[in-house]
Amino acid sequence: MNEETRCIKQAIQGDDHAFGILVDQYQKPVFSLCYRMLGNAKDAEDAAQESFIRAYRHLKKYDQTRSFATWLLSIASHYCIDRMRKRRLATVSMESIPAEVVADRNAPNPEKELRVNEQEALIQYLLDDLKPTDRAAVVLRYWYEYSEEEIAETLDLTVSAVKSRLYRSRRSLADAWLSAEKNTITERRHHESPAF
Amino acid sequence: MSHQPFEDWLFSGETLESQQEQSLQDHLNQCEQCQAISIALNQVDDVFLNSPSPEPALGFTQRWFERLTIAREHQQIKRTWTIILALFSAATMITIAITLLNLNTLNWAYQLSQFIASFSLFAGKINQLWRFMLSIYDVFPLILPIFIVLGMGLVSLTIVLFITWISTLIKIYKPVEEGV
Repeated sequence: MNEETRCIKQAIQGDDHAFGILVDQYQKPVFSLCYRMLGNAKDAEDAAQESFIRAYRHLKKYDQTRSFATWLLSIASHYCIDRMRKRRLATVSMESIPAEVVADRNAPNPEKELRVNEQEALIQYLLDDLKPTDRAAVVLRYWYEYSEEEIAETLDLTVSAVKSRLYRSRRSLADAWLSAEKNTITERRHHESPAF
Repeated sequence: MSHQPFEDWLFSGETLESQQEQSLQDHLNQCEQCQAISIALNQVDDVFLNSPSPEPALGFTQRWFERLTIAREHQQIKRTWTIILALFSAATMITIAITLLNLNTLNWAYQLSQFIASFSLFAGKINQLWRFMLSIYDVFPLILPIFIVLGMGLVSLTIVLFITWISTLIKIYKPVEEGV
């Protein structure tokens, strides 16, 4: 019996400390998923914490023949999808990126910090147009390298539904990228035009 | 120019056979629209796959334990309220059920006639009493002040008894101070 299985069995018996070990082990993938889904650290922290609480509460329902990580990410995905449906996320406009992202001058490498912030804003901009379930499928595909079968298992969808959602999402992502590129070119032309 | 099946191949993101790959490359060399889509998708892939993985702030597990404690307290309160509401609902349901059972066995017409008859009798008695008082007043007008005095005395006595009852209750339920 490995460490994870032992912790799960102890946690089912009500051992908080054993589940704490699992929280420690899986905090990064769960938080990362919530962050990619919700777009900010505050909501991601809240969603990740709540996902672990729900997982602990329903641990008896966990089928131990399945992957624990997939089960946990399934709970987090569904929680984030519900949350996204309940509220409309504030969208990040491409035009506002340079003005909004300000590097912390006290950071060890402000240029790198600025670049990371810009990249994060760009990722959120691209993901914002996607429907919650499509977004979850994209996140699991790109950042967790899940197969279509694994995504289907995590999101309770059929494999053909996952394929169709990924197809639609990639189309939307390409459109968003091209539109952002077009806006940037227009912006540059506007700045280069002579002042009257 | 037809963009199919090349567009489908691009958006599906599936691995293509070598012949399909060659066919797609030939199309991309000719079609600017599909070329733009292909470049955009490659750049999206590049941005997504090269982004750093976001991590939670330090002390995540500790914060989770604190949240677990709060969640348990909330669950306990919720459970208590659920029990109270369940008991209240059960009592209400039983009361309604008993009332409905009694109502089913009630003869409405008979009960209404009984009520009207009793009310008429009561109204008749009041009327008689009123006439008797008027006749006393007509015969003995001097007796009226005595009635007023007696009435006031009765009201005063009732007030005194009520105050005494209240003060007794206060003395009984007042907590005893320690050391006394």
